[in-house]
Amino acid sequence: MFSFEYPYAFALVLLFFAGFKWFKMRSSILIFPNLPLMQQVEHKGGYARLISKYLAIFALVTALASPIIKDETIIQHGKGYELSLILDVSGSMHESNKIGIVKSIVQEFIEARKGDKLALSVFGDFAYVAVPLTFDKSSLLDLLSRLDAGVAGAHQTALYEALYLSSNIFKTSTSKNKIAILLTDGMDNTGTIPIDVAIHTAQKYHIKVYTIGVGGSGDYNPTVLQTIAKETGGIFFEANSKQRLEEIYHQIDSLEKSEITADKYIKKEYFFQYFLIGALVFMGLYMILSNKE
Amino acid sequence: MQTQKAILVKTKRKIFALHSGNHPSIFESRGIDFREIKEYTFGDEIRKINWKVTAREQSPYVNRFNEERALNVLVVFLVSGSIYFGTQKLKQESMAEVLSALCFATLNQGDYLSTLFFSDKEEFFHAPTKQTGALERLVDAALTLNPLSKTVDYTALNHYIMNRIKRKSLMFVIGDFYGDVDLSALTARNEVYAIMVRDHFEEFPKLQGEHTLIDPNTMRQSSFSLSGSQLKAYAKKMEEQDARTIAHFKKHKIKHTKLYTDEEPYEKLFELFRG
Repeated sequence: MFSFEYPYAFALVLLFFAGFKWFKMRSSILIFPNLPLMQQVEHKGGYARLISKYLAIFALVTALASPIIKDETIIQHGKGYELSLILDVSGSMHESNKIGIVKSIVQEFIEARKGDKLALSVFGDFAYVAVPLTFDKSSLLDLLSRLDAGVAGAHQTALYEALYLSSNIFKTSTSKNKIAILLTDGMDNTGTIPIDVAIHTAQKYHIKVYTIGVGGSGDYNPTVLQTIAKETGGIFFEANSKQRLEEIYHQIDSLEKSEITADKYIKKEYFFQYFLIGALVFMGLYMILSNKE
Repeated sequence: MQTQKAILVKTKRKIFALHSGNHPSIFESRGIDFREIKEYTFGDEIRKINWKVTAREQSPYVNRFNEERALNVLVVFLVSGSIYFGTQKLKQESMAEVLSALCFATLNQGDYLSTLFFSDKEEFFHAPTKQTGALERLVDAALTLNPLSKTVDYTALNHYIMNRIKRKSLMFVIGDFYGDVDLSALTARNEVYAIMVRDHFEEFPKLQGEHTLIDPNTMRQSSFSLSGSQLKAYAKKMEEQDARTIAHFKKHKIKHTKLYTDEEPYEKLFELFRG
C-alpha cells in the first residue's frame, strides 16, 4: 500500500509558493530600460530552467514526506501468531443450526485477527486440514463459507485425529505463538489416534490448545477437553448458547490480542532516496542552465 | 548627479576650448548660407556684388544668401522612464549635458532657441528666446524632471510639432530612441538631428540569473531568469531595433550620432555638425 510517512511535509510546497510570491530576492530588483524587448527574448527559453527548479523543489519535498510502500501482511517469521481453527463438522452439528452459528462467529473471529497466520481443519468421520497456515484470509473465509455439517462424514467424530493432524501443520513453523482452537459437540469415537498421542504432538510443537464444547452437557466429554487444554496451557470453555460462544471467541481473541498487536510487523519500503537523487539531478541541471553562457 | 552649474561650466569650457577665437559656434556652416549667384537687378545691395564674377562676365553679379540670419533652433528632449538608467551616470544627465551644449551654442550665436520636453504629451515647453539666462532654467528642468512611468509617443510628438512649430527650424532630438522611432513628420519642413544617448550596460547587459526587473516606462515589475544565450539574443535584437531606427533616420535624412554615458558628448556633437 503506497503512502507517505510524513504527508504534512507537502505544506512546504505552499510555503515555497508563498515565499515565491511575497518574499522576492531584494538584492536583484533593478530598473532596466527597453524591457518589452527583454520579454520577447525571455519567452523563447528559460522554461527548462524554471521547470527544473520546480521539479527539484517538488522532489525535495516529496523526499521529505518520505513515500513508502507499507506491507502489513508480511510478517517476519517467528514474530506473528499462528492460529489453527479446528471445527467439528460431524452430523450432529446440524442440530439447532449449530454449524451456522459457529461459522458466523468464526468468520468474525478470522476477520478480527489481523496479521496472523491462520489455518482451518475440520473433522467428522475423519479429519483433514482444509486450509494450511496462511495469510490469505479471503480464501480462508471462502472455504469457511462452503463448510457444512457432514462434509467429513456425518456419523463419527474424529476429535483426537483432528488435534493430531492440525498440530502437525505447525511442524515447520518458527513462530513462538502457536494457538489451536478446538471446537466440538461430541466425543471422539473413531479411535484412530489415542488421546495421549494427540496431546503429546500438541505439546511437542508448543501449541496452546483452547477447547470449546458446544451443546448440552453429555454431548461432549468435558474431562477430555479439560485435559487437553490443561496439558497444553490452554483453557477449556463450555458454550450452550450463541451468546456464550461469541463471548468465548472474544475472550480468546482478547487473551492473545495485546501481544499480537505488539508483534505486528509492518514492512516499509522507503523511496525517498530516489526522489533525493532526482532533486540532485534537477538542481544540477538548474545550476548548469543558470550559469551557461 | 551633477549639478546644473557643473554642467554649465563644463559646457562653456569645452565649447570654448574646442573652438578657439570668438566663434563658439558649432553650426559654423549654417546661418548666412551662400545660396547662388545672380545678375544684378535694380535694388540689390552693392555690398553683395561678386567682383570676380562681374569682372569675368563683364556685367554685374551679386551673391545671394539665405535670407534669414537668425535661425530657429528647437531642442527636443524625449522624456521616457528609460532615461533613468545608467552605470556611469544617468542617461538623463548625459542628455542634460547635450541639451546644455546645444542651448549654449545656440544662444551664444544669437539664434532663437525653443526647448521642448516631450513624453507622450508636452512636459515642458520653453518659448523661443534669445536670452542666455534661459540656459540655467533649461538645464535645471532637464536634471530635475521625473521621467519614471513615462513613455515617448512618437505619433503624438509628430502631431505636436506639426501643430505648434510653425517656423522652419533646426531641430535637435535628444533621447534614447527605444521602440518604433518615427520622426518622419518633423523632417517635412525642418532639418533634424538625432542624438541617441545610451549606456553600454543596457546594450550588453550582464544579467545572468534571476532578477526582478522594473520597466521604468510603466514601473511594472516582472521576474526574469536569464541565461547568457538569452542575453546574447537580447543584444542582437537590440542591434536590429537600432538598425531599424538608423534606417529610418537615413531614409528621412536625419543626421544622427550615438553617445554613451561614459563619455563627454562634445567631440561627437562637433563631428555631427561638421560631417
